[in-house]
Amino acid sequence: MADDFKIAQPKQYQRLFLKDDIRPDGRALTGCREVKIHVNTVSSALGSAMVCCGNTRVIAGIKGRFAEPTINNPSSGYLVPNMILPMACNTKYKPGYPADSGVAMSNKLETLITDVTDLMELCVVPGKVVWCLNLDIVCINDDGNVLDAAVLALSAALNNCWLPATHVIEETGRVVVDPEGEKTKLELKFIPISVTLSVFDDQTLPDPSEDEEKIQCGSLTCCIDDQSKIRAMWSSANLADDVLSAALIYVKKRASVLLSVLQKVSKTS
Amino acid sequence: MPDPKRNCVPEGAIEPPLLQKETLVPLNSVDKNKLRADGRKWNELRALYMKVGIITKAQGSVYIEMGNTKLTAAVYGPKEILRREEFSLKGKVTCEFKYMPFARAHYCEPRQDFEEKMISKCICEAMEGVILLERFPKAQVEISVQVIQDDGSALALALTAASVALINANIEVKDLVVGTTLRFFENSDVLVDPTAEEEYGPFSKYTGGAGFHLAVLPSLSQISYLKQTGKIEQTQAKDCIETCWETSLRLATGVKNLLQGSIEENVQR
Repeated sequence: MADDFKIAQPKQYQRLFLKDDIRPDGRALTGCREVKIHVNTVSSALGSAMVCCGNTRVIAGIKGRFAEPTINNPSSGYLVPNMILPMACNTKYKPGYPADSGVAMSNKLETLITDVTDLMELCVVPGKVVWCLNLDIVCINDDGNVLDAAVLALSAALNNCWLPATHVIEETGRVVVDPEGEKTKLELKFIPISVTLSVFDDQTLPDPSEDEEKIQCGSLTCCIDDQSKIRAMWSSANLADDVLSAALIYVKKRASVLLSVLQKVSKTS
Repeated sequence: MPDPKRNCVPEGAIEPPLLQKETLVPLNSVDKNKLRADGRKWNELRALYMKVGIITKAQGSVYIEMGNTKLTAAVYGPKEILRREEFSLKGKVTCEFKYMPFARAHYCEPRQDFEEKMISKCICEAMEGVILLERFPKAQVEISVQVIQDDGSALALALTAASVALINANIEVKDLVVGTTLRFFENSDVLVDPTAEEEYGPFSKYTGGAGFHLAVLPSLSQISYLKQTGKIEQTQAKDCIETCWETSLRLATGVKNLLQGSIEENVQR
C-alpha cells in the first residue's frame, strides 16, 4: 500500500516524511549515506579507485597513452576525463552511446580538473612525446548522486596514480615504457571534492537518493578543494540568499569529512 | 573524426610501446607438477567470489571475481519490446558485452568494437539455448555484462555471470551455465584458467598453440557454448575439451554453493 502511494503521489509521500524531520530512507534531514573508498582496485590501470556511496557504486580508472604536444605548449601533457553511464546501471539509460547526462557530467569534470596538476609533469620528451591520461569514470550502480561519487573516485584515482618509467632508445629515438622501472607519483595541486544538495519545497537535502532526485525542484552542487577554496558551483534551483549561505557552510563541513576518508585510504594503501 | 559527445584525446595518441626484455622461449619439458607464475598447478582454478543483487534497479545482477578478472552482469526484463517487428511466440534476448576503458592492458574505446560485438552475440546465443523463451512471448530480456578488469578468461566468466544474473532475476532457465578457458601450447603444455599474460601476453614464454572456451550445463551434462582458436590435432582437441568439461563441473559446484547461500540470505530477510 505504501508502495502504491509512493508511485502515485511521490511528492506527497516525501512531504509526509519531511514533516517528521526524517527522510524516506531513514536518514536525518542533513544525514548522508556512508561512503567507502577503495584504491588500486584495477591493476591494469595506472591509478584506480572505487567509491560506494550507499548503493551508488562508481569506478574510476586512469590509462596513459603517448601523444604529441601542441606547438604552443610543447611540454604539457593532457588530462582527458570522461563519465560513462552504461545501460546496466539504471533503467533510465538506454543502450547505445552515450547518455546525455553522462556528456553533461564529463563537461563538468573537465572544468573541475583543468588545473589539478602541473601538466609539465606529464612531459616525456619535450616537443615530441607527452603523456595523455584518460580518466574514465564508470557508474556500476546509480542510486542517486552519481556526480559526488564520480568526483570522489576521480580524486582518489588521481591521488594514487603512478606513471611508469620511460626510456628513450638512443639509436631510433623511440620512447618506450619500462614496466619494471621506478614509477613516479602524480603530484596534485589540490584535491577536488563535490557535495550535492537537492532542493525540495524550500528544504535542502544533502546526498539525494535516486527517488529524491526524481522529484526534486532543483539541485545545488558545490566543489571545494582541500584548501577550502571553491572550485566550481552549479545550481538549478530557486535559492534564497540565506539558504545558499547555510548550504555553503554545510558543504565545507561535509567536504572535510570526505577528504579525511580519502586521505586515510591513500595513506594505508 | 573528433567525437562531439566525449572529451577526446588529441589525434595520434598511441599505446605506449613496452620495453622488450624477454625473447620468446618455447618450453621443451612437459612437467605437470611445475607451478605457474602465481603458484597454481596446471589444472587449478583461481578463487571465485560472487555477490548478487548489486544493481538496485536491475531485476537480476551479480558481481563476479576470479583472481584479478572482475566483471558485473545485469539483467533487465522481461520487458516490452519497443519496436514491434514480427509477432513471435518466443521471447527475445539481447546482450551487451563491454570492456571498461581501463580493463585491459591497452585502452578500450568506449564504443563497442567488433570483438566486443562478437562476444555479445556469443553470450546471446548461449543464453538463448538456456532460457525458456516460450514463457515470455512478445517480451525481451536485456543482459549487460561490464568487465572491470580482464586478467584472462573473461568470456567464460561472462557466460557464468550472465546465467547467475538470469537466475537472480527469477527468469526460468533450463540450467546454470558455467564456463572455463583452457590454453594449449605447441609443446603440449596445458593451462586451465589462464591469466591475461598466459592467454594473450606478448612476452609470455609460450607461443602458438590453441585456446578453448567451453561453457557447460552441469545438471543436464550438455555443452552450451564452445569456441576454439588456433591450431590443434584432433586427439589433443578431444582431451582438451574433456579437461575443460571436468573443470567446469568442479566450478559449477562452487557457483551453486555461492548461489544457494545468497538465496538463503534473501529468504531470511
